[in-house]
Amino acid sequence: MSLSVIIYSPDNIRGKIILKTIHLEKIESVLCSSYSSVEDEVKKRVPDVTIFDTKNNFWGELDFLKKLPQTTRIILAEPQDISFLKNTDLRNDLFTPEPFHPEFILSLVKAILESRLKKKYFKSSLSRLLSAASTGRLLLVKSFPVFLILLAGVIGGYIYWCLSTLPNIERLEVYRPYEASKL
Amino acid sequence: MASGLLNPNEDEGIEVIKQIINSVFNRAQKIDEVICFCVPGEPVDNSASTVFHESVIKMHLKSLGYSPIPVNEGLAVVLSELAGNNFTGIVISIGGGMCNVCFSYLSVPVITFSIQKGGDYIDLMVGKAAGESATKIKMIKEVELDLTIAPRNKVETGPHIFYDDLFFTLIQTMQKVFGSTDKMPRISSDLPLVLSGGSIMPNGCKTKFEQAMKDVNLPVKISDIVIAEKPLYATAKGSLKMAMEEGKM
Repeated sequence: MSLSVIIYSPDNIRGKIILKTIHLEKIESVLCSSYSSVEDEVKKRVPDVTIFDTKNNFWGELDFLKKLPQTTRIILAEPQDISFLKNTDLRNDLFTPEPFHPEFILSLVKAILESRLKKKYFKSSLSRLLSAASTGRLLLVKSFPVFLILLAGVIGGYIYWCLSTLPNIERLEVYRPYEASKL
Repeated sequence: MASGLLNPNEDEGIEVIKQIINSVFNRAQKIDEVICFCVPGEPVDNSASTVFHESVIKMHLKSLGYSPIPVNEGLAVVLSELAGNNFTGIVISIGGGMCNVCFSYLSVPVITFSIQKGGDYIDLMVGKAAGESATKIKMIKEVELDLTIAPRNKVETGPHIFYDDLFFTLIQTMQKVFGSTDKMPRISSDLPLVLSGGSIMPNGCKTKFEQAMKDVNLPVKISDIVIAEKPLYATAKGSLKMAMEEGKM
């Protein structure tokens, strides 16, 4: 289950720096220097993260971002431009202000991909569990770890319930069954 | 050659360079065989351009059947010397006609430039000051110069002064160029600085450079200053590495 990143930067050097920094973590990524190449890449596969470098871009061209499918977008911009961008349709995106900080961009990408990976894993596990349940092969399928977690939860809950219903020790100390029987 | 580039005043200069190349290489053994050749960065202290120099060599290599790829001199040294640091750091190649500087981040040449001052400048200036020929000064510099020893005469004093001058110019230019670019990425770790080229070989050069760097503020912090394993061959080694990588593709 690989995750992908599209980097758009009209500046070849900045683009390459981001690409190489992300490649260091073995994350699948592709660098595009034009809008048409971004569109071509998106047609092939919808990325999990899009990094958009606004350096050397015309403001009017930023409308292009709205055409992209719903992925998490990281926008690199000058600090003074961020407030303007936040007042547009791009307000839900992540902004990283200049100076250019590739290590910070990488940390953002990693955090986004990790959360996406967890979501994807949870969704696929759930669907497998449901499909297995419908075909009656619950214990034979690959969702065995999920079943184990559920089982551990049930057993844990049962133990907790047993312990919480034990008689109070302090009360037992004053409990005198013989004397009580004499009454 | 003049100041690290083909000399426009020498009519036979191009032919001489071609003959030198022919004496080193045969024709390509297969069609479009990759060959990397080293080119200097654009000089920032002069209006000279490297385009003519690069094109002449490229055209000749193409005529020999090769697929030539120019490699920046500084980047070649990065590929040769900074493999252990993810090809990230600063390299200064101090040659005869030029000093080439490259700041590389993960092998991306973020900043490359050159200044048209180098070993030849030191020879010329010391020669003028001491009343000797530049060639004689060059011989002395290559054989017996030791910058750790206090100079005893005019000929020995000259290199001390002009090495200081060269390093001062170089570092000032680095400060200016590094400080004025918007391409410089913010890096949390300190970076190594590698010195290479023939003019860095006299004993004591590294110490002199370290002293010149003491009070300098660059946008990146320097962890240590080292001299290339083989200062004369680092550029060739890096170009070869590049050619081998390109040849695989």
